[in-house]
Amino acid sequence: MLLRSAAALLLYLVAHMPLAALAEGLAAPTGRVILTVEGAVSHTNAGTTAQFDREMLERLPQHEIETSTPWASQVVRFAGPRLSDVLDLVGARGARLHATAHNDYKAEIPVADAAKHGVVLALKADGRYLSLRERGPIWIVYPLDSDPSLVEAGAGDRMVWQLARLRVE
Amino acid sequence: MKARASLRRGRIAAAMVLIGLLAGGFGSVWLVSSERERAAEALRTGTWIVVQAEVESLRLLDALAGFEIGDVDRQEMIDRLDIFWSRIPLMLDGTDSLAVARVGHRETAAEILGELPALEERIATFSPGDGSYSALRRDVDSMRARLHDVALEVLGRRSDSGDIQRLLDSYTLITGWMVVALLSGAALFGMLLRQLRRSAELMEESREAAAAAARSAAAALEADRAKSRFLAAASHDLRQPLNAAALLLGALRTRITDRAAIPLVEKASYALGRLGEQLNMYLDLTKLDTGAIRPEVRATPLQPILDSVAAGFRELAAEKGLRFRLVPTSLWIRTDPDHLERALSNLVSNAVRHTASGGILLGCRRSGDRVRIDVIDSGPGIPEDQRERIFEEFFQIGNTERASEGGHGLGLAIVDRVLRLLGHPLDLHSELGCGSRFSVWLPQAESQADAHGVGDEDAASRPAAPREQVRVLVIEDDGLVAESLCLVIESLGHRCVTASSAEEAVTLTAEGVPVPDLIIADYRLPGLSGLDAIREIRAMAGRVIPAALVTGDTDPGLRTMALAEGVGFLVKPLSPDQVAGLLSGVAAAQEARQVPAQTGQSLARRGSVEVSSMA
Repeated sequence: MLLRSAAALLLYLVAHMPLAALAEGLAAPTGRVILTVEGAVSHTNAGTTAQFDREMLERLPQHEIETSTPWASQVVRFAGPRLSDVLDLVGARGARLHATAHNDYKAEIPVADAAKHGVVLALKADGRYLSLRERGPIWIVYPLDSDPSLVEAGAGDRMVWQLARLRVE
Repeated sequence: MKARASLRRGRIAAAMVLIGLLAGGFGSVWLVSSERERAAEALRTGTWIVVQAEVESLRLLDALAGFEIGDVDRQEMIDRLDIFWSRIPLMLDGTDSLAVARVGHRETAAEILGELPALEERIATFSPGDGSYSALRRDVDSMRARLHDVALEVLGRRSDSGDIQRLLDSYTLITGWMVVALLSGAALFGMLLRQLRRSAELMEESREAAAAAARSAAAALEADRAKSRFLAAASHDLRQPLNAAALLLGALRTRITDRAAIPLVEKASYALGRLGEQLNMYLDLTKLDTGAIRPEVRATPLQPILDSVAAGFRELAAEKGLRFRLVPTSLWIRTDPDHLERALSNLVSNAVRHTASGGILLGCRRSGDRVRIDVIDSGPGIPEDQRERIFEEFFQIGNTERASEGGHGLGLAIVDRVLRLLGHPLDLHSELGCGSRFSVWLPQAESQADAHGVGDEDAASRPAAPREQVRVLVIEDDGLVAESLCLVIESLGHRCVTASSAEEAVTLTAEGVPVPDLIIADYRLPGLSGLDAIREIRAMAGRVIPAALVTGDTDPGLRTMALAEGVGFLVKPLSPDQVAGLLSGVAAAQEARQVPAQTGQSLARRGSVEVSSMA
């Protein structure tokens, strides 16, 4: 009887876990960690944080943003997972993200931006992986060209390159 | 009902003019605010990318040093190289790179980018203790130094032309409109009021007119507020990036373990600080030019103003090893104390900045019904052909080296504007290699303390300092008094030797120091008195050397005694002009090859004039 109710409880818990988290099980990264998400997150794989290697991020649906930026004269085709998918995956509960880059640049990003603008955590530019030297391994990309109001709203400051950590608040 | 019709026509015309003016004014506000944002943004990011690149080069240096001593692993060092590397293309491509291109440094950035692959190879094979560290360090530091120069140039260029200039042009345009709108608002207000009084029978219309006038007054007030808001916004937008850069450099300073890099960061911090100061000054200047600042002239004692100016610079002067002396006064003047203090502070700031050794003297004297405030320094002096130009914005003597030491081009422009606003003339005396004297003339005011005014009336008619150089022996036991006296003497182009006692003065003369042309001695000295010293030295020289006795007490017996011996008698505190008077008297005598004794006599007479004016 006890065993049966324990099994039922287990089944209940499993049934209510978010599907993505279940699929991933948020496995521990096997490669070099390129992104750490911390703060108000419910699914973690390293202490209180969720860590990702590149492979984990590439397993999510990949999206493209083709846009010009203030930092280059050419239009660039960025590709990577959506920020909103990553936040769902770690069970983020908060309104603000604090992004920190490898060069210690910090920016605050409203969580609402992720869904509203389809913000992408770009891993590639024009089909090539972004190295640290090319402002990778992750570059937060807004579709600047498709929404002219973004530049005025300060999206440029939120396009953090060399992204290392996200803290959810 | 003819009056009623004409009033209506006048009102319609007035309203149309006012609407036109306000529309024009706000149209220019709109035009200009987008321009302002663009300029502020360019300033923020354009400066930022070069400063950031230099910062990353410093962090790379830090990582190399850390790797050499085993504090940092290879991956972290390579990451640092990559982060540094990622900064360089930003100076070559994209909107931010325009700032670099404008100062002609695209090649510098391209050159650094070209050197990076070789550097990468060397870093890849670098291992701790293999002897390659110092060469790596040197080469990265050379990149850093080049970036530093670019950063300073971008900062410098932007501060004195380009965007700020454009911003100011925009600002001038908008304030021009505001002033026109304000003036016409006031004129319309007056006109409407006059008509209102004239036509008592048109009570109905009068009420409407009054309401219209109130509306126009409110609009004018709003226009004035808009101007203030614009100023505040402009200063905020420009200060913010500067502040951020300064903070960043400050944080960086604490992280550097490479000793050689520390002074460079400090230099950068200093340059940023100066830029901020310059910006504040520019905003002040703008406010002055547009009449946002209005003086409030009133009778006020001078001493508190001088005290407050002095308080701001004593420490700075001491840090530079300069003497700073403030001559006390009991005079009252008619001025706006805040504005005068600002002008004097700028003068003193300038003096402290440009004086490498010696000191600064701040004092005043009365001349007729006017008061002259002097700021005297023993700095390098100002060449004749540049005396007009130093009052222009952004003019400075010398080269950029000088600028990085703290010269700036705005202080005197502000002084000039403020003093014009107050109606106080400014004049300048300067001797190359000796020093400069800036003098501000103000009207004297009546005061309670005025009953015993200090000063000698014949000073104004004194001849200009002759070219003859006078050797002065100062005998004074108070080191500071002696030094400041010497400072004044040297600033007038003469030479000065000091002795702290009568005995020392006599010994100096006996040891073959050239016989002085003038002795200025304190009466009260440890041991023999100043008068004794004068007698002794005159006896040794075998002639009556011109001399003056300076004393704090006004004992009439002492005065008589001194005058009887042909020794001038002066009461403390000595003003720089009294000293100048003494020196020009002696120099004139030398020039005219007069008998020294006569000069002694004339000095004695002058001394008696001084004393009688004290009574």
